[in-house]
Amino acid sequence: MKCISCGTDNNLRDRTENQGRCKNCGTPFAFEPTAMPVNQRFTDVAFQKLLNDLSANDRVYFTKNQLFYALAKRVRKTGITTVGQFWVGYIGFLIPLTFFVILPLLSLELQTGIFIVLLVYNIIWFIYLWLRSQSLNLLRRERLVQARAIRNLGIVLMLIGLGAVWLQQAFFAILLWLTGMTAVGLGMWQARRIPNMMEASLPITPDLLDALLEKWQNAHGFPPKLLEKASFNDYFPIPGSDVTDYSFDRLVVCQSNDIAKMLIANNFHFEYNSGIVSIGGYPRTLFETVMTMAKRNPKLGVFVLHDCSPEGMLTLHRVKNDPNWFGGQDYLIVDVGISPRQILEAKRSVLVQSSEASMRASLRLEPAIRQSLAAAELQWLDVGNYVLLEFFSPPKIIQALSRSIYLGAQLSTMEDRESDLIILGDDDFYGMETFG
Amino acid sequence: MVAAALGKSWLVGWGEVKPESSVWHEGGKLAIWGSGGEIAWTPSRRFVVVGETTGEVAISTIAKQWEEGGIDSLIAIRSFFALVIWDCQEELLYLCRDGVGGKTLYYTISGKNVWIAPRLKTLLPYHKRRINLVALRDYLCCAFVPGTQTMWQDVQELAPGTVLCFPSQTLHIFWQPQSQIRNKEGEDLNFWATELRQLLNQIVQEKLPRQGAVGVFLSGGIDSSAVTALAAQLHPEKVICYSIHFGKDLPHELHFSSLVARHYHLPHVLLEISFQDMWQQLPATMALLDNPIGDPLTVPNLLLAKLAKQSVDVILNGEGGDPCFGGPKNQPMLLSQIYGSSLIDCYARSFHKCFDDLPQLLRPEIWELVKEAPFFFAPDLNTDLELLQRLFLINIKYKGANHILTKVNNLLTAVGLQGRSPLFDPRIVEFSLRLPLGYKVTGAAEKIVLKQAMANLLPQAIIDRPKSGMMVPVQLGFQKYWQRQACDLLLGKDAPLTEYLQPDIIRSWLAYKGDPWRRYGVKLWLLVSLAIWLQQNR
Repeated sequence: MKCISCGTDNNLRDRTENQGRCKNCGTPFAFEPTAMPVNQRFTDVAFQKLLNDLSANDRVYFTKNQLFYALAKRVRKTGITTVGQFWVGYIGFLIPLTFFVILPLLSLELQTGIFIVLLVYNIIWFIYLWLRSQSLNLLRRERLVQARAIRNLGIVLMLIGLGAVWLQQAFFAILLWLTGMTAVGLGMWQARRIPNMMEASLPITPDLLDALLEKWQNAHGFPPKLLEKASFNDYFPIPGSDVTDYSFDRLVVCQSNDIAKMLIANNFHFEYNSGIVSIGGYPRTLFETVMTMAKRNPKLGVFVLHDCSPEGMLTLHRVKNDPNWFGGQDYLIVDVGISPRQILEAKRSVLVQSSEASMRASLRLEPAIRQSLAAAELQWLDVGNYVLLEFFSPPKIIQALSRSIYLGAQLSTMEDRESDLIILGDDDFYGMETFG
Repeated sequence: MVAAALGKSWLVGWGEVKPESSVWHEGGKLAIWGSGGEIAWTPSRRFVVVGETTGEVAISTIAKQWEEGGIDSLIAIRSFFALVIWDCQEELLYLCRDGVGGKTLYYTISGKNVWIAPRLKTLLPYHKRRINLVALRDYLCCAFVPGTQTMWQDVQELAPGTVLCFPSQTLHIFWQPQSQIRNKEGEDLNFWATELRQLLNQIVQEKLPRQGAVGVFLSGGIDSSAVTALAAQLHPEKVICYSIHFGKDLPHELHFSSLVARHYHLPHVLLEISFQDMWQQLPATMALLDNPIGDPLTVPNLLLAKLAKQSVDVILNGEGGDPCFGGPKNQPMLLSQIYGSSLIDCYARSFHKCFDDLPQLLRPEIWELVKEAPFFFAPDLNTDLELLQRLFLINIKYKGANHILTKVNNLLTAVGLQGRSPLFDPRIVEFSLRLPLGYKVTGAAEKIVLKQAMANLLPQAIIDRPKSGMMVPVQLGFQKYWQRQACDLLLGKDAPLTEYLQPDIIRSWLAYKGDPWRRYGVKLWLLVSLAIWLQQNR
């Protein structure tokens, strides 16, 4: 295991002999993988990389939840997650099987043996895929892939069955066709069932993160860019009227206090001439001042940043319709996300969670909010699904907001325009530097 | 030998100088070499004045005024100037620079001699070419070198609005921007807008050539549009607008600039700048600058000047509108104070360059040397004035003298153009310093008084358009076109910056690893500009 200070490789004996310190520079190791549960092992280097990735090499602040999700993503073992990967695995194992078993059997003219081998091979795949399609360790969309793979496997079995017909192996033909049709049927049934099943459970718990952080802090100190949880006691002194008499170009309203705190810590307000508040009134001491300043600008752009959850939908609704926010007023309001539509259309894997509490909250949403959602979105929420914004790293959220602001400046009418999968969208929009 | 090295510039040596090849000398005490400037005697022949102006006032006129009024006479000069004045009777040498800083004057003291020149390069043979590490830090933060320091340890820049007298080295301040806000009853927005419009009419009229066509650099923003509109109104001859873009597929402001040109039926010349042009012309551009300037508009400025020179000799521009009436830094700086950040750090950060990267970017031994050094603008930030007024004063003081005006002056002069900035005229600066802040910024709207003054001359779309700077796609440039060349220049063998900067961070920028603000392009441009400047000057 490498030391994060000097890069020296220390084996278990080195670490034991030096009381958990590097043999070269004496830096303590935070983690001893051999003393950790198999599926939750971390090395110092891996944890350091996680922190570096999250903070863009100590350039941006992040929340504890963002660290938690980054860790969960790192820990989660996914295996086959696309149908393409299934085919690669299927053919990959079939090739050696053909060379070492099927071809020798063919040379011995043992047709029965070949069909038995193929049947067993496919049944093993079927069992593997079926178990994965049921696994709560996989995301639903990953489970759906397993179901589609089962269906494909069924088609393969029926094709082999045709071979058996051609070779006049009636018993195997019937067996292969029965198995194949069963696989196709079960695959399709499972695919229909999965959207209504519970989402994956996270592979780690907040307690595990706390334990890891404590060890890390003892060895290497508190991660410099990790933010403490936002508190209503966070104190921001109100500046004088020579500052508060003016306004700014835009306001970011966050559902979460922690996200608001993260944006402030990362100077988003400064970079984009933007006030930042949370729907719950964070930062408490400045909230009224910032809102008064914001409403002084008749051309203010309001950017709403929320979870993909019933509470997130409520946040957006409140900002748009509550007269204490911007209801009934002529402001440009941009939904940065995340909306259920974005998740449903996402091309990449997102850690969707689900809970009964979220299901109940969705069903309790005001009719006006429910009517504003498409049927598929509503269905997605009603089964208890949600995605927290903190699933995404700070650079990703910052870029998503920047992109919304860029688009908001380019398009004259952004109001009520659905955000373009901004967080999950194409990363390749290039920044233009302005000088003025 | 010395004169040959001067090219189009001039040099003054004072002390125990050898007057070989000099165009003028006095008993081995003072000698003047080169060309490009003007020399004039005062009527009594007590003073000899050498220097340059932006052309509105002749050096002979200035000499006459100096004889009558001495240092105080400089306040009344309605032109940018850099002068060296020799008092033959008292044997005193005066170095003078205009209040706004539109012309530059550098000096270095070497033993018993003082060498003075309007171009930094001219002084290269007279100092040890040691890099000023604090200036390096400031360049990395601001993209220019602010204050009286230069990139060279042993060379100083004369502060605008001052006169430095040798041999005593006494510094006289004849003008400096000071807050003179006047709040009088009855002086409403219309009152101030009317005064501004009258002033602008007068100033633009003075800055127009007596005959022949005049060019205007037109971006489509309120500042350059205002100057274009006034020139179109006041100039009886042809007014040609010049604009740039980087390809119609990339974001540009041609819609706005064309609107203004069409409004006045003016010929509108568009220059498309390719990524190849940007890279290839960078060395030639850096060679024309004094201190390095790392903003990506340097090359476009030069290319546009070359194009304009084919048709005109005088160019007007809108420089000065931001420092005098509102600029992109003001509101973010106000917000930074709401959310509680160090004012000085925020100001250094407001240039959006490398302030936050300094601890990782500079080599540790260099960072140790410069990290505690105060920034030039710190005393101006820590005054009792309203924050916004402090910001206006600093912008006027440093942004004009050390960045915009010196850049425009050097690049335009190099192609034989006279560049004139009506919105940076000392009278406009003085007007701005008297103007109540509420007429510059209200809510989130800026340049209120300028918009009001120009309301009946400009299309409403120009008055109403949101704030925007000139857009240069350097992020895309480094991603798609200049990656390899930049890598060689910044990280290759003998790369000029490796002595000062850490290669790992430059490598990560070139690979665009973790760029939350999408600013690596602009930072890389800053570095390649500096690297080329160092190559040329060493």
